[in-house]
Amino acid sequence: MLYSTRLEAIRLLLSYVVNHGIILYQMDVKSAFLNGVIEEELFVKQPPGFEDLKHPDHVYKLKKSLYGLKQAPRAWYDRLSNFLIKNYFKRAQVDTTLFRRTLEKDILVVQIYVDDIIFGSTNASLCKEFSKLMQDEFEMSMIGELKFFLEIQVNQCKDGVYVHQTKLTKELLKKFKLEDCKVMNTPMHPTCTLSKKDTGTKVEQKLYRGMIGSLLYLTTSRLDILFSVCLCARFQSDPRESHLTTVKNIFRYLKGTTNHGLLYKKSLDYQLDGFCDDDYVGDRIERKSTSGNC
Amino acid sequence: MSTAEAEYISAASCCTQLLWMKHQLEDYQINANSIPIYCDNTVVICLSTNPILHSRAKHIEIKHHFIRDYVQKGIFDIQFIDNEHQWADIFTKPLTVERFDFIMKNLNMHFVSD
Repeated sequence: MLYSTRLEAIRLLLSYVVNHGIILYQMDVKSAFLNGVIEEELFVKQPPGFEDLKHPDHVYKLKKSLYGLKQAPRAWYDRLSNFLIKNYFKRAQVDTTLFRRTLEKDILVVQIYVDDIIFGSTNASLCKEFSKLMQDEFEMSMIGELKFFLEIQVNQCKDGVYVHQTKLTKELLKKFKLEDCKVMNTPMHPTCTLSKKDTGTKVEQKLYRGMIGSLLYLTTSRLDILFSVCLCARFQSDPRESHLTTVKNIFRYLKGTTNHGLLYKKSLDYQLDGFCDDDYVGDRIERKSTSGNC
Repeated sequence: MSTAEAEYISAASCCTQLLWMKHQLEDYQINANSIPIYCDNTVVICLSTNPILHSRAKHIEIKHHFIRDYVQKGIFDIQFIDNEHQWADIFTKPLTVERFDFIMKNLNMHFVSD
């Protein structure tokens, strides 16, 4: 089981807080895994250089968890969730990393991502109370408005919440040495065709896979490149020159739109809509369908 | 495989995504019902709302038919949308600049000023 949230869940949280006029704060637990208490019997060797001269064969029995232990993430999650439940929080049924507490009309929501904690409330005093509560129990750092979280930048302003990855985009352009490229208007040309049976020169797989991996993380806030990245990702096993050019075109598009991001606005009718579509004939490789939801 | 089948399967996969979101929203005590799914294929709408076995559609795998249960329960509401307002277009094919920018605007993707 994973004790970290999916990024989609964070996007849902953002849309929720925008509609309830909640400002989000973040904080960080210092050396979180050391806080966990383990129930299993575990022993460690004496660290080199610190051996006991009288008993060099002895081992230490662990009472608390250490980094690198298999049990460490679970022990930390148990400790934190038990602490929150003891403090009248309710764990969400589906998303086990979401906790909420309702006090009359006010709501306090807490989302955990291992040791990063995002929280917000309709009542400012509840927020203060919560951060004090956490500080008394754990050693905390970095308390403030939510701005930067898992390489995602968040701008909370009057007209809504902006989610963007400007910093990461710039870093990626630098990493792949594409800072001086020419700008493209769309990530992919409408007539672009890629094929698995390309006989062009082979390109380095490591580079290609690295580019795809980085771009995939960017899709968290950049829905516009989702299709082109996923299309290029299909050629990872045997990338050719033409595929690499297409990936570079995505970067060229990104260069012109570094600052683009998603805006969550407050809307009167807060509801879930689904769009579905597919492209079937357009796929020249396997005639498998491409489906898209949003 | 027919175009209708492809659309039907994509509608079903859209449903699974929406169900996940629906469950997540229940954690926030928001109960979403009759969630609209916009689809640009009328055959899909007929297939999902009428629980009849059509001889032409009997080859569709049963697992994709779970969408019917949810439509009957009233959780999803499949509606028709014209191609122009189909925002999911951006996820299925490369587009021209005008169309791309138009959809981007409607997906709430904006220029962020610091």
